[in-house]
Amino acid sequence: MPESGERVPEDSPTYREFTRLYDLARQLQPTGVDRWNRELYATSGPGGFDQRTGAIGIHEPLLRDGLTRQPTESPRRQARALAMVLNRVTQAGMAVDAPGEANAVGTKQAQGLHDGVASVRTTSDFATFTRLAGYPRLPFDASELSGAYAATNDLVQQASGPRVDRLELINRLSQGPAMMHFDQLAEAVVQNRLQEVAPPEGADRQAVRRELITTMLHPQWDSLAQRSPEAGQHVAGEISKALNAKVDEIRQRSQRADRPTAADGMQQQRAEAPAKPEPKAQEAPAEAKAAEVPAVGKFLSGSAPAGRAVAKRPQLGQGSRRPTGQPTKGPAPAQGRTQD
Amino acid sequence: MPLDIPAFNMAFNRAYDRMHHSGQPGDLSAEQDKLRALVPADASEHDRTWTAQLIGDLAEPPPPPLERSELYREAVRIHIEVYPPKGTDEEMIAMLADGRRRIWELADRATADEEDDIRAMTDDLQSMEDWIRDPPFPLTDVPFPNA
Repeated sequence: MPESGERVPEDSPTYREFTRLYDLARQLQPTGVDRWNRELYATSGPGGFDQRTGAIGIHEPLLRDGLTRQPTESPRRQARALAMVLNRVTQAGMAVDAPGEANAVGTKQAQGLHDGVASVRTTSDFATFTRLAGYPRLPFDASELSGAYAATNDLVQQASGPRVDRLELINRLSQGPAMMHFDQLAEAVVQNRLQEVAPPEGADRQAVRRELITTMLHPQWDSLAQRSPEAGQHVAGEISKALNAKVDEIRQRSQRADRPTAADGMQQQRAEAPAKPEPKAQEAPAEAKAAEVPAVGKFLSGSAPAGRAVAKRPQLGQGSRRPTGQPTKGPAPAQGRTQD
Repeated sequence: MPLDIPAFNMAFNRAYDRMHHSGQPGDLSAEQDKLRALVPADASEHDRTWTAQLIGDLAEPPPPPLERSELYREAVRIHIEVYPPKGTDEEMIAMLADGRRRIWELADRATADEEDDIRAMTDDLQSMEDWIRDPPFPLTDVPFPNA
């Protein structure tokens, strides 16, 4: 790490509390990867997760004053310290590279999305983590988070829907690898909006996801990471429109591909039937229907000001821990909140 | 039977959203009952304690946004200016480092309440700077280097 850092001794109370928190955070959302090398540094700067060595760095005052279960004069410092632990655990809990994957994205945006996923996960699980760890209820405001958070939060919101809701998507993204985050977002769009026409998993479905990824990598994507609400809203709207258009294009193309030759009268008749509508709320399980939620088509219009994205939430969502490709049950609007 | 912590976490987060972010009035006691049903009768005392606290927290709505100081808003403006960075690798590194230094200086002058929030803005600046200096995978201009 470029800034200076002092190794925290493994027999110190700070190190023991950090490792206790680290293990608890992994229990909240287990992943198959643990890249932390068990070295903890108290840093002069912001610290981070060292992708090369696997070391974790956290700003020294947060470690010194924040990692205590006792009520303190600075609960906001405690909150920030716990949030940093969750953030580092999330980054250490996923691989980065995805060798040989055709849909791996290697641009700067993929790096930003990696940071953003850690921040979004931190916000999502903060309340549970705090209580699980035996800390008092602490103030943590998601709007305090960074530009990478704003951009990621918006993209997650736009890709969420009835089959893969926001929380389920955050869970999938937290599994990594980082280079596949855009592909995971695209798969959520496929499951939520194109499930009826999408090919089964394989090269063709990958190609569909690549089209969607290209749309998400809109030239203005970077602006989503800027926290000006006006700029963020504009760009989110642009990407939302582009994604909607791409989803429609893929759907229509698929229906044209289904169109038979002129010799096949029966199939011709079928092909000229009205296009199959996107999944509607009535196709959702009973629990979702009970919430009187609107149709799925609203999802990709869910653009929010980047810096305030947590305040705007989709009205419908469902999904639970199931492997990719399987519809799931249970409504769940967007996550991300503040607490005091 | 031990508590299924990931399932409880997901259920709580969904219940919280239904209560406080759905735009519709929620049924607090019904939501709390559903969450209690996820805690096995023979769960450990620790698990029964923290889940009970969290289920109690479900009643609390999120607070209004914090009032921010001019120092905080200036830090936001700097962040917008430098992130995401533009130019060559060297230019991006310089931009990120400059933004990080300026925001850090603002944090040094901030109140204890805001200091950590302002410093936290530099987290993704530092992270991207580290990646550009020594990328764990080569950053590319084309989106699909393996395709």
